[in-house]
Amino acid sequence: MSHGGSSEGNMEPNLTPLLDVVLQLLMFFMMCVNFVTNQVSEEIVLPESMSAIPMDKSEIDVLFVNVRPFILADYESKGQNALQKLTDKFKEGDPFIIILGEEPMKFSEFKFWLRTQFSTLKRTNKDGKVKTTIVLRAHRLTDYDQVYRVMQMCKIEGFRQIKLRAITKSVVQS
Amino acid sequence: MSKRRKGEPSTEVVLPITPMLDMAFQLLTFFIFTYNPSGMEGQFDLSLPSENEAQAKEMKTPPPPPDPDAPPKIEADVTIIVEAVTDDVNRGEIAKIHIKQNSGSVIVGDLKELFDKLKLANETATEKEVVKIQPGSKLKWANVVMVADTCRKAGFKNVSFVEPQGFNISVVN
Repeated sequence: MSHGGSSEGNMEPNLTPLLDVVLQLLMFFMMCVNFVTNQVSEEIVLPESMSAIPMDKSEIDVLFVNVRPFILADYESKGQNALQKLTDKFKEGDPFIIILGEEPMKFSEFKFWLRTQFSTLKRTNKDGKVKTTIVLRAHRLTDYDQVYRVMQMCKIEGFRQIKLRAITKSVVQS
Repeated sequence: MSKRRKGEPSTEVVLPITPMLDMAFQLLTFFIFTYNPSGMEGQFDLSLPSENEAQAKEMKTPPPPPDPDAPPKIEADVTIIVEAVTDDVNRGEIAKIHIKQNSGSVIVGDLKELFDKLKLANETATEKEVVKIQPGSKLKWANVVMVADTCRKAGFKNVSFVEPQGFNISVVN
C-alpha cells in the first residue's frame, strides 16, 4: 500500500463526476414521473388486453371517466372523516365514478355532470359541435352492467366517441 | 472590463458543492422512492348499439326508419353469450359460454375451447370479421375484455358489445 507520506497535499476527492452522475439520475427520475396521473385515477386497476392499441397522443379533446365498484377495504387508509363521507354515500359494491377534480359520483350525479359538460362544450366550441372523446377507464372488478350503463349514458347525452382503456398485455408479461 | 493587476493575489471562487450534492441526493432519493413504473396503457374502440335501437327495444315501439345515406349495417353471424357465476365465492367469473350461430348453439367451458370453436366458426361465417358479445350483467369487466381478446385472436376484428340480459334501459334515462 502506498502512502503519500512525504507530501502533505490537500486530499480532496473530486466531486464533480459524482455530481454529474447524480444529476443525470435525478433528471431521469424526474422525466419518468407520470404526468398523466393528474388526469386519471390510480384507484383504477385496468384489465389486461392483448388487442389494446397504443394511445393516440395527438388526441387532446378528451374527458376521462373512471369507474369502479366501491370496496370499503380499499379506502380504509383515507382517514376517518373521508371514509365516513364515502360510506354515507356509497354501499359496498356500489358503482363509484371518479372524475379527477370532482367528488366521487353516483350514476344520477354523473348523468347531470355529463349533461353539463356537453352543453358547456357545445356552447364554447366555435362550430357548436362536440367532438370530445370519452376515455372510459373501468376497474377490472367492475360489473359489466355498470360499464355498459356508463357507455349508454355517454351516448344518450350526446358523446359519440368512446374509448376504453386497458393495460397492454405484452408489457405486463415482460 | 476589469483586468487583474500583476502582483495582486488571485481570488479563487470556491463553489460549495457539498450542500448541492446533499440536495441532489435528497431529491434523487425522493424520486427513487416515488418511482412507480406503471404498465403501458392502450385503448380499444368499441361498437355499441345506437341509443335509438336500445330505446326502441325498451319502449316496444318500432325503431326509426333507416337513414338512406347511412352505410348498410352488417349483422353478425356469431353471437357469444357469456354467463357469470353468481355465488359469493367466484362471483363475476365466467360460468358458461354459448356460441350462437345460424346453424345452432354450442356451449364451451373455457377460453381455450372458445378460441378453437371461434376459429372454426370464422371459416364458415358470412361476416368473417363481425362478432357480438353479450356478457352477463354481473360478469367482471376483466373477463369481458378477455373474451373480446379471444375473439380478436380468432380472427374477428369487429367486436361489439350488446346490452346484458335483463338490462333495464330506463335506468339510464
